[in-house]
Amino acid sequence: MKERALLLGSLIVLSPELVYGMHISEGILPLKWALFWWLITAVILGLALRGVRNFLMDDLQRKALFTFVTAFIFLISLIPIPVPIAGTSSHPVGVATGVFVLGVCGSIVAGFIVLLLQAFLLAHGGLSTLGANTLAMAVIGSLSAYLVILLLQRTPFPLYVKAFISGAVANWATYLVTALQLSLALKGDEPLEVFLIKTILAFMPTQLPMGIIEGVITASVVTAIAKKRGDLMVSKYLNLREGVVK
Amino acid sequence: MVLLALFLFLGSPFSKTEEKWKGFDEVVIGKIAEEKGREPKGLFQLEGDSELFVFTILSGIAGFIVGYYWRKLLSENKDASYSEKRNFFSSTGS
Repeated sequence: MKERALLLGSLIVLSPELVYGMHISEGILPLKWALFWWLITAVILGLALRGVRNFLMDDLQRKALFTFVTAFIFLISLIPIPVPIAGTSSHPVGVATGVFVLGVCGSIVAGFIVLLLQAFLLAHGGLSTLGANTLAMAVIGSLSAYLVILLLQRTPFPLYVKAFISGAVANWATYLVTALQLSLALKGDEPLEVFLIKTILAFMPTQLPMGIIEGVITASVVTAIAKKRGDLMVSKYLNLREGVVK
Repeated sequence: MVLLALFLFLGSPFSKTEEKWKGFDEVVIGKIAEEKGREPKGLFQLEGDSELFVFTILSGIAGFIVGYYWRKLLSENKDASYSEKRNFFSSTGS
């Protein structure tokens, strides 16, 4: 196990290519749109914080788990993965793994902490756009992963298939919302649907393969956690039947 | 774990050797914004290699935390009972 930890640590240190991903940078959104997305995010974040407080108080071990998942999302969302088809780099969002382990509320809060740290420490994203970025990645990413888990609840698919689909969908949903946010703010005189379709088409060459990569990563990590410590999977916090993640 | 490590490993050299592997937000989001007259700007500027330094340090710290808790939660504690786990984390202050 020590070797694995060392391997992971070494690879991270050896991968210092600066990353730019889905985050909407400071200055891109006009103030009224930045405030609008902040308002929506603040309400959802308030609810998620209440949920995560109960989640963490229930079991001391979950505090360590929350730290682990937050660090994992921070790390995974900093890794630039080259997408050969597009010739660009992008990064996974990691929140689907958070939903499997922390539940929706935990994943939303973890995602927000990650984006806040990246804005303050790396100038990755921005403060005015933090609301929009949080809504896209942490909120919609987590909710879409949760929705997939719900939909696949009664299917006979093994865990890795469920995790793969939830990871891919979380990634694509994040970028769909980012495209919508950009379109609403920047469409100008163009019809919204035209600008939105153009933006989605521009996103697709990078994000379609990226979603599949994210699905593979999510399936790998979730399966590994479930094999080692299935009791850490929080089916009851997802308000699902026992055994949904098996 | 192996797949994750493989992706991490592949990410670095590819991006370094090929200039074309620019970030998605720079190539796509930035371009869309600039066409509409919105200039992306960072909260602050990390000059020269200081950006690389900060990125490497933060990635290293995050990697250490992930590795540490992976071992604590998923390996060392694998067969511990619920009460043992509670005692373990209480005693370590986590």
